[in-house]
Amino acid sequence: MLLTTDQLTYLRVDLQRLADIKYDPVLDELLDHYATLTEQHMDTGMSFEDASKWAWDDLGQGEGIQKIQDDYIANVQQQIRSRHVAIVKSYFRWPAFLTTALVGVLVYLVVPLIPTDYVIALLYLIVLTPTAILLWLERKLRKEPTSQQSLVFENAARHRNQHVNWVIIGSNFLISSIGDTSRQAFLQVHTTITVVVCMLLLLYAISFMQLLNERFNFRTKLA
Amino acid sequence: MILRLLEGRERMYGYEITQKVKELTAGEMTITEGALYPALHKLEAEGLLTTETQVVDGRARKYYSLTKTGQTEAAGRIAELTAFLDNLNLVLNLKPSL
Repeated sequence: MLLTTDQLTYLRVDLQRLADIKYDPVLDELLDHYATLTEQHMDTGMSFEDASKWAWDDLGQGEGIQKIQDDYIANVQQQIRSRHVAIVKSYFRWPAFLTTALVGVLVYLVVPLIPTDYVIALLYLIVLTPTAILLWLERKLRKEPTSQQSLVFENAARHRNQHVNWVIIGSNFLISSIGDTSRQAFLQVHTTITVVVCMLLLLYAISFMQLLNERFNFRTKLA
Repeated sequence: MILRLLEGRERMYGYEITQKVKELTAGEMTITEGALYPALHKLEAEGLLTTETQVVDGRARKYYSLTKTGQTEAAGRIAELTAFLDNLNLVLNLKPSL
């Protein structure tokens, strides 16, 4: 016996409300299973209400069903981490390494030319621009809160906070240098350190931008 | 078990797998949904399974099938398990005096 659209909606709501299933891929898969089990019970003469209760028990009830979603989230997050590492590694492989090296050389050459009064403002700009772009990308992804992409968004949001923390630590160092010319000029005198810090922060932010923007697809990227 | 089932078929969906296990073992063995889906997702993540979704009876149904890597891996794992069971059988069939 096939379920009606209303009955399918009823089962979908059950999964969403009683088991807190919110990610579309898990929801669709479990709905099909739940519906098939319900249909099997209805074929024995049960009413829809009774059949769906039996099917719910068969599925493992709320807690058992939630575990399936928890496992799915852990699985996807593991893949996101692997993909992120792969993206960062790709910046150090030919030919992407050429761009990375050129940006590094550019920073190395430009930093000593910046007037000391502007170096702090410029560093803020370099570091905060990727953060602003990340925020913009996250805003875009908020429109699809139940997709796999939302897991990437959550992951990126967590790391963006870390990125901002790095900015705060850097800011404290820079602010503490105000009034002391030798310390203020520290980042210009030791240009290599500046390049390393800037490049790390930029690569860190850009890798997340790439991850968010490439429409990360669960499993297929690793296959 | 999942790999073996899929080895002989073009594609299967979750509910179908649970029913096939029950049918093959005459109800002696069941695979719960809580064990089945995490296993399917893990195999999918490892690139051993591929999926396609099709709308059936008004709802989305996700079908799993073996990838090329999955086919090779399935054959390897089944051979390993068979060898293990053969050895286990040899040990279990030893006479107490030996």
